[in-house]
Amino acid sequence: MRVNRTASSSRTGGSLLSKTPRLGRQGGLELTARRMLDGLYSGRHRSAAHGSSIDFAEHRPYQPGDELRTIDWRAFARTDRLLIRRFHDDRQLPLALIVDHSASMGYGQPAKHDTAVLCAAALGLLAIDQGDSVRLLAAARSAGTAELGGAMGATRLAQMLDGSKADGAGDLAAVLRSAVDQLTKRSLVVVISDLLGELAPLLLPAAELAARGHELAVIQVLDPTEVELPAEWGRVTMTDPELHEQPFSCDTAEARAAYNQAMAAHIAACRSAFAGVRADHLLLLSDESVAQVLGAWLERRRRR
Amino acid sequence: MLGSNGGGGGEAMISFLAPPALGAAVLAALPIAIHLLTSRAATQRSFPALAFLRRAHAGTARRGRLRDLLVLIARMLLILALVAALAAPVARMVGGSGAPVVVIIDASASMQQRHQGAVLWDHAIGTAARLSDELAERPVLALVAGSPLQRSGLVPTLDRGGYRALLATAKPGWGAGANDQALALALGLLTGGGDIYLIGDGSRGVVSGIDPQAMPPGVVLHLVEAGGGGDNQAVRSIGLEPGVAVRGRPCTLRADVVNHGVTVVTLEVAVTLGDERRARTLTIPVGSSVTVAETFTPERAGEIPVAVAIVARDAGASDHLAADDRRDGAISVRPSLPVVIYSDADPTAVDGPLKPLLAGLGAAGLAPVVLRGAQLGELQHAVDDLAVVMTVALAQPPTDGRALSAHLLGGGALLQVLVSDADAALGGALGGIDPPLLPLPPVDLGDRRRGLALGEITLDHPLLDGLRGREPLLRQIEAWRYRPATLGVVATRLLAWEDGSVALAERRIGAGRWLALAISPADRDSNLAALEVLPLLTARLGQVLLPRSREDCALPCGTTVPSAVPLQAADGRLIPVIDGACGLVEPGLYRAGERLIAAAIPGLESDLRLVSPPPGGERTRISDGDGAIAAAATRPLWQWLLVLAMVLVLSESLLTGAWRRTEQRT
Repeated sequence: MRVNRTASSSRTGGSLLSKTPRLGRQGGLELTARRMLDGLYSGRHRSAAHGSSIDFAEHRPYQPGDELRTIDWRAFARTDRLLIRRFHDDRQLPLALIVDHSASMGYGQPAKHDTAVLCAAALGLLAIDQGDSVRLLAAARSAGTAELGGAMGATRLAQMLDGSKADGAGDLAAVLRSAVDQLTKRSLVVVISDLLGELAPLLLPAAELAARGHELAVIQVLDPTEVELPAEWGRVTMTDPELHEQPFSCDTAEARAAYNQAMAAHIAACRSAFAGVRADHLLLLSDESVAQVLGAWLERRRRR
Repeated sequence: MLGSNGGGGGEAMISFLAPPALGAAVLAALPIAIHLLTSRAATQRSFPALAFLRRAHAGTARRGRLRDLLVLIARMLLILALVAALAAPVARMVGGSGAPVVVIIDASASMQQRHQGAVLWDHAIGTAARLSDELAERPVLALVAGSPLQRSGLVPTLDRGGYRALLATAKPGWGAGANDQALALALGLLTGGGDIYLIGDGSRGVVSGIDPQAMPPGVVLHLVEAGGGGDNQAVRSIGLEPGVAVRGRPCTLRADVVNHGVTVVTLEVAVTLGDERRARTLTIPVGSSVTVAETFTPERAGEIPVAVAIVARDAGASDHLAADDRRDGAISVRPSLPVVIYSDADPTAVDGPLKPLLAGLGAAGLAPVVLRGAQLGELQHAVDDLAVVMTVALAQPPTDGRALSAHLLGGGALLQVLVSDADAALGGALGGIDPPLLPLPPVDLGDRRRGLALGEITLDHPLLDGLRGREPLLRQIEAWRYRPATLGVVATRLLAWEDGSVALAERRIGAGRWLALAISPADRDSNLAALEVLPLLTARLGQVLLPRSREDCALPCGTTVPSAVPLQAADGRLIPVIDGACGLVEPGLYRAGERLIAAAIPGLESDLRLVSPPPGGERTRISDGDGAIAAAATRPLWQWLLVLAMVLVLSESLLTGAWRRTEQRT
């Protein structure tokens, strides 16, 4: 069902918070990164940089200016060479959420946008619960948020997501391009969209994000009727909520076979294309349980 | 409708027998209207993945539009084909030539019925004329199946002069018609194949004697019903009981009055004998008859006209053939019932052979005249006077038996009692007529204590019917002198002696009867007289030997009667004598001197009800007049349109079914 928002709950985000599954607290799940990321603060995720953790990383030759306390004297005794001991550095996992707010996301019962918001909230809260920071890169028209964390961060995140609505023609490629500029730290970038637009414009910024060390995950939210066109609709005249083109009339009983085939091919193309930039792809139907689908997805990520 | 001989080459023109049905062709717009209505009624829906749908459906949409167009065309053509079939399209052949045609017009009495305000005959003649026009390219011959049978020419011809002349002059008869004879003649003319159109009224008389299944190959029989089938009431027969009317003795006139209608009718019927007229009111159920019987006592002898007529009917009844409402007849009333005994025995002898005969006849109320045997050669009564002649104890057989032969052939009766040798020789004197008994020399059993007893007794004969219950009496008959005899060639044995020789035999000669009794009736020869068996036998003779009844006092119309003089009809017209006979063409009374002859419509012709003809083969077709004319030179096309409709239904099913199969596969 579509999320019923009220003015007060929209301000506080309480409604969304109450509905959002706490994957970390209740499900024992963990948001992990497959790549070495670099948060600002120390955290639970191993960083690409070396730091002050207790996990030994490597030796390197002494160079003038290195602190003497980092010299491994035992190694000097064995090898008669001055070697510096280096340790891993544990940092936070910066999570960047990009939610598609285009008009096409308002389709379905419940609306795809509601599912996307719920999904983003769940991931954001999971990250905050883990002590990680969250950034919400909403849309091109929105400048996005600073890093959010802690209890206040969760409330702020809920407020922002709850206040969003699906409207207008979204430009997801532009949001991704802006993310390339905005994200200065290696982050886990989660894009939540129906991906019904052109796929090719998305791939270039996605590849650029990957090249800069970000890890990309794409959650494609679709309505079941978009995956399989219902035959029982019969003869209908359809309009695109985003593109103001001529209405299109057809008999869904006749068109469904070809459409289903084309949509399956498109989903497969999305999965294949994002795999090319080492991005995860998750298909989420708007009538599915967000907690279950995300839980299974996070579990798969953890095992990898 | 033409058969396989329907004509040669030529151009075909399409026309419709029921053109108003073509108005239903507007229904062909129905599929278009439904298509437009359903397409406009499509629901509006927002769909984000419309671009995918648009691209994916582009190919299938083209195929779908083509399929929709084909289905639409198939459905429109299907409706048009059915509408066209309902309009009964026919192809009319123009300019061809074909097999010969014989048109038979039923000229029986039932064709004179009035149908829808006109005489049915006129309708039949009109149908025959129009039929000839429709078959302008085919040789035609007309046969008017009446009495006599008339024909427009020797063979079918393209010249319509004789055909039209016959139709202009032909009139229906009052007889039974001669459709069977006409059909036989037509089949003889159409040995190479052709069509026969038999135009009738659809009653039983039309196909009487015709076997529609017996049409030879190449010949198609068309039974054309030119109308008919109306209600009718008629006097079907008029009879007399007993069969011989005698002055001063009561006789009964019987008539069957039949109701060939669909409602119960009440009729007033008048029965007339001479000047005496009686009226009766009858209520007759549907499809049945009532017998009216009136007993008269004629006061004078001679030919007396009789008649039974429907003189009034209730207001609700309708009658389509008035000519059979009255039936005339004529009866010959005799001055007395003559019984003549030719015998040379002494009538007063107590133990003579005459005594038991006279006693029996006297008991029956008959007064016999006893004449000498020598007078037998002249027969002292008129030949056509149905008298009873008895011979017994003749002294000499007649030298000329022609008078006695004429008596028997004219329906008279003869009882031959074999006593003397002259009695035994009587059979030989009637040269040309075999006697019932072939006698042998007499046998005298002398002084035997026991005579010869009867061995075989047949009591189911009318003559012996009065002796039922008296078999013990018959068993007591004994004869001490008898004449053994064997049975004649065509005679019936009634009584036989225990030694196998025949005692009593009968032979029928037309309406006449010849009985031969080989039992000596004298007391001294047998105990017949003492047992009073012989009086019982002779007492039955008056009733048995004369006809009990006369079924119809009128001859059917169309028959000819031998006459040396022209018959005079009731209106004074004279019926000429042709080859020694006069034809009774019309119903009514005809007079030939003192003699009266009546003619009547055959009973079958009064039944005007339509009947289903006997089932015919594929070469027999039934239609009404208009249908026969319409189909005469045309070929029906509706069967082909139905075939086209079925093909269209199949195509439509394949188109839609193939689509559904594709859907199911995906």
